[in-house]
Amino acid sequence: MTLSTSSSDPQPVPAASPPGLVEIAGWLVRRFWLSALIALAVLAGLALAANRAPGVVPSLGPAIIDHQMVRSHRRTDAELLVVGDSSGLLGLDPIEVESRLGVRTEMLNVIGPVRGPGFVRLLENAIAAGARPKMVLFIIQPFTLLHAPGRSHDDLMKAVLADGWSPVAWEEGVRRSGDVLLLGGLFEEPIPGPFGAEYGNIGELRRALDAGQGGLLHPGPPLVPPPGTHAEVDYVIYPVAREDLRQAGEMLKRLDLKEVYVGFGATAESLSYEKTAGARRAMLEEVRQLLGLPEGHALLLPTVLPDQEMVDPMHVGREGRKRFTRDAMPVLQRALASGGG
Amino acid sequence: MKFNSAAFLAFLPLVFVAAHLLRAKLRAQNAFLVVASILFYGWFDWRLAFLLLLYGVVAHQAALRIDATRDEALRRRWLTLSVGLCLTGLGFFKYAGFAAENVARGMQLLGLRGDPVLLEILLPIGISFYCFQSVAYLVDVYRGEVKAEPDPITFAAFMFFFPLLVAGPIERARHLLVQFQRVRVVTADQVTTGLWLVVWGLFLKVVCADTLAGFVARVWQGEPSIEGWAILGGAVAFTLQIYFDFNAYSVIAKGAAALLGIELVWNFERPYWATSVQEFWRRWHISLSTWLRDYLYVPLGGSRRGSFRTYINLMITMTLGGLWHGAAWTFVLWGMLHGAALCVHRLWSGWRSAPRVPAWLGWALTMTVVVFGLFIFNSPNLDVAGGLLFRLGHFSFTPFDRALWLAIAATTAPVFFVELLQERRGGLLAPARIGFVPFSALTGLMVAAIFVRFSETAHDFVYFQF
Repeated sequence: MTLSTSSSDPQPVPAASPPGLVEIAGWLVRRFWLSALIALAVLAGLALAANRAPGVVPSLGPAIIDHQMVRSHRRTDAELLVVGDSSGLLGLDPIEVESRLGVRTEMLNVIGPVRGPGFVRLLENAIAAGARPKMVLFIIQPFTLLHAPGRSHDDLMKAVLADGWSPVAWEEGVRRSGDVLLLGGLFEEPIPGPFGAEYGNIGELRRALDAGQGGLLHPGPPLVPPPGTHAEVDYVIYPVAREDLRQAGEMLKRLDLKEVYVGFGATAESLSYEKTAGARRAMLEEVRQLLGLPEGHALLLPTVLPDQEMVDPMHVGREGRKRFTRDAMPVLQRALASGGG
Repeated sequence: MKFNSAAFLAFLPLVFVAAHLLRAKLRAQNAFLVVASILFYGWFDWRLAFLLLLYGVVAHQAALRIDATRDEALRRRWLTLSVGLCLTGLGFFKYAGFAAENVARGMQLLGLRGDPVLLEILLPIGISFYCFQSVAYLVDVYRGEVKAEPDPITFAAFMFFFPLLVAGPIERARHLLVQFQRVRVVTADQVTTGLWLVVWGLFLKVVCADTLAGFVARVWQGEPSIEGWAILGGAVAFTLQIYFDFNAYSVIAKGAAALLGIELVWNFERPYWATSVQEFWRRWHISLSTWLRDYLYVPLGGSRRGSFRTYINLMITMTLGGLWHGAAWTFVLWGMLHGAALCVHRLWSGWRSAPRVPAWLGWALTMTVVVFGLFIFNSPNLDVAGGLLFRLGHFSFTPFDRALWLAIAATTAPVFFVELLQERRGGLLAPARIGFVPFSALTGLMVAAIFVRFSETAHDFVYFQF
């Protein structure tokens, strides 16, 4: 019996007796042995490549880290290098800074769980790749220093420090590398949440990071704070964060860079009211000291933005990014003039 | 049980082995297939298996009674009763909520108090398909085109055959039932092309359709950044997604059946190569379009009662065809659009002095109707469709648009390649008949890609909801 090639083909006529299972298995093996071999070879290749090839991470956060790791190894002629967490990544627009201040600007910011030593590691990569920045700026969200870092994120910092990801199970590895190496990233579905609506999939997010000189826009809707009053925040650095900053400071010392500055990312108005401004400034000074930076190297970047310019309490949105960048400009200009430039 | 699930990938080989072990015992093999099919269907929700059984009992018993008498009035009564029961079941599960909502709206428009009776009715998966298959069987028996099958096991094997149970194709007794009435003898060609069809279907679903599904969902969520190119791309992406997805189901069904020695009809024959809407309907969801032709359009009078009546019949058939997909005005509008396009095509074809439409223009016009129709079809309501159309005028090319259009190009390329082989080498199975090495490379790469993209939490088949 043969399969027809058209829906209107006549009925096939049965032959004498049904073939046995062994005979049928023989047909399948004869027809598909090479297909199976090719599939297995491709999958084995993908499994081997999984833990070596860059760009084989599955979700937003790791993808940002992964791509900034890749970028940190590219030679750059940036005069201003920005490092730190997502409050800087989403807050300061390097293209705008470059066009207003006339200094070539690159950003290597990642996300908070990478923590202090991880931020400096990206800087180390850039220096090793030939970067000679006149000024380095750390931007950190103060709120991330107030709590114990989540253990589930430990692998993110480890990945940056090791300059590569921990090996994953082979099936997971095949899937990750298959998306990139076999399917060219073209078959990736959109990222969930607002980033997906703006950037599409991971491949496009990487392109956007390149096009934005390492900066990214958070496309989320404006923050609607829960009804109630401003939150009381106790600005005390958590011991683990303190240790991270100290370790980052040690790493910085080895790099022997003169003009390194630190500033805080913006926080939503509903979380940081004016009474806490003094405490925040004191905490910034403490961070400067832990990083081993000279006096005067703590920059007072815009600290509090209206809720409607934020997408969550610690990240600015489209309007907030414009405002943060614009308001940070004179501070950066002064720092550049006083030694960085 | 979904075709794109690990459960099915274990189920199919087990059924394959067991069915071939029973190869010489037709009744035992049929009985086994009935049990396997009920297990397959009950995997979604075991309670639904009772509804399926009920449909089977009604169709089997009514057909026997229709066949048993020469009394035309009695035969007609049995037909009306049984078809009425089948359609009532479909109507209740599919349209009761829609009807209640619209009655309430109508009352509100008249200034009366019209609280909609909220009917939270679970739509039994595949009911539209097995309902139509039952109706076709009953009508065919009534028309004397097939004999009623007395053996309940043979009948159940035909009625409940798992590959087509959930999303078709809608088979006719004269094609499928006869295959359960005799010992099935599979050939090497049938088994190997069957397995190839399963691989090709899974590739279409897991790699092509599901990639686009995520983008389509984002576009129809209507986030503010979704504008011009994204909406246009979303409409194209859904046009491709629904074809890849539904064709995937039909192809896997055909492949799985072939492995068991059963031949199913083709449901799609490269529909997007059509150069007219009429041709499109000869290539798209063939088992439904022929069902609508044979059991609705022809009984309405078809084209036998003059031009005006023909146009009315076309509109009625296509509008009801739209409504078959579900209880929503968007489906009705989709059906009416295609009905109107078919009328225009008929009018143009019948106009002697009409200039000949070049193939490329025919294709472009056809695809415009298809894409726009599916744009409405995929919108949950007319407000959403209108809202998206309103934003279509704002064009700025964002990274999302780039990702979307690249995904469209990437998913279309392999399908186009396979369809080109089908077109050039004469037949839907041509890709399975190319040289051994290219066939092995094509299949091997497809299997690897399926493994990469396979996910248990992936999107359901689009036609499950109908």
